[in-house]
Amino acid sequence: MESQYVESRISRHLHYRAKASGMPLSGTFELTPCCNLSCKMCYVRKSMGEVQTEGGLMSAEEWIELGRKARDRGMLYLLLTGGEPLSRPDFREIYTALRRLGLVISVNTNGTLIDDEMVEFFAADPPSKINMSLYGSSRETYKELCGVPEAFDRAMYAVEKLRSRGITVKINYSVTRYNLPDFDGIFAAAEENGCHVQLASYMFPPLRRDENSVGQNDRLTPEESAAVSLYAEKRRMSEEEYLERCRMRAEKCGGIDCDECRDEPSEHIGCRAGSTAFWIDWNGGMSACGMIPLTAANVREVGFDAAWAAVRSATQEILLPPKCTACASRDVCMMCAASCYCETGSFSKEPKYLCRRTEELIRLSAEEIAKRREENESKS
Amino acid sequence: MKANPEFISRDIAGETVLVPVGTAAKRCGGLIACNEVGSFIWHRLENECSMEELCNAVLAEFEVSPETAMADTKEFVGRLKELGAIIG
Repeated sequence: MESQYVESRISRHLHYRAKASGMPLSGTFELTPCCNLSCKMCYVRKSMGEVQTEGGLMSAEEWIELGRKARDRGMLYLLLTGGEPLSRPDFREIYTALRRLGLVISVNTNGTLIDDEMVEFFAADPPSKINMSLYGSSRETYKELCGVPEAFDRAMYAVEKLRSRGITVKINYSVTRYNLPDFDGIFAAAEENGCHVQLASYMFPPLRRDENSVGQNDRLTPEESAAVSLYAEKRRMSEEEYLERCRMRAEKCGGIDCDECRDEPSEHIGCRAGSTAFWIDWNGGMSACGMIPLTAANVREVGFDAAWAAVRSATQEILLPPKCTACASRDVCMMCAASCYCETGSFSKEPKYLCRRTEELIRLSAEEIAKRREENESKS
Repeated sequence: MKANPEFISRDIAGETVLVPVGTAAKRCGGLIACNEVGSFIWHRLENECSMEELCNAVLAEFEVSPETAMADTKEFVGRLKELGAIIG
């Protein structure tokens, strides 16, 4: 099993170069908000009826044309997501056309619509990776969390078949109260299939689904979230790596547990959102990040270039909370513009949930270090 | 020999990368990053070209000795062939 998912050097280098020129190197196309599952924690799900009322889905031709325009402006990396992107009957047409533009594509999916034919489709022109959400390790959990018990069997079938054809699969595990007992089962299933697990123990309040949900979600407490995050690291890292991260956190000098989002500390947005990355929702709304429920412009109305310019400009105006940028624990905290907004309804207020989570992470990390020290001393 | 059309050349932020698609992506899982000389060679290979023609083109474009041009071009072409990026 891969011990960690590590971004390639060329990707880091290209993002660095793209940032200087304001190039939209990475994009996300949210092809649909519709899904065949009904997960309790979903931030986007809509019925086809709601979609029709709100203007309908963008056509395959529109997505492909958008891909062409974004490619011409420098887009190389593209994530296709949903809802469930494979629920679109024209998914294959969109995927194939976008690949032929010379895009490196990854796909978010729940895996339940991946049958043998779809496996062969992907095997014929593999995505860089398939990010498969695994919601539990049993039918019971799937029933409780997603409303469809047999979805578990279908997801596991997809993981096994995709891996057997050499396709890279990353398991996304969003930890909730409902699937916390499945932790070891999910990791075991991933290990058995040679997949890395990306764990999300922090759930953003689902503002896109419900604007009144600021600071609210059916989720773990901050302290539980910290403990789960640490447990996951312990499980998948070598003893040395794990203790090093604990040490960094105990000394407040690093060890952030979502480091793929963090480029550099600043009072502005620190990740790639709105700098080299954009998100286009199912309706054509472009924003810096899919977790922020603020659309800068709609590509259907103003076109790609004007929408990207609007996203960049809106992003540059965002200032993070002064308390956070001056916080001694900042290098340990996964606070970001999206979490500030979703937790408080403002970019300038500190997300208290994450303050508590970070304090607990530091406390638990220090405890781990102290425990090892005591063990070593008693041995000697 | 010539460039496999299933490798799509992209010039991004001053860098040239080759993106494998279709069956080429099965064989070569990642991107191929080219330096300036590599990029020059790749674009030459978009039309059928012999090794001798390629080396002469490199020699005419860059300030290198004939020995270096030959050795570097052969090495790069060999690597691209291994990855399936050059056919013929």
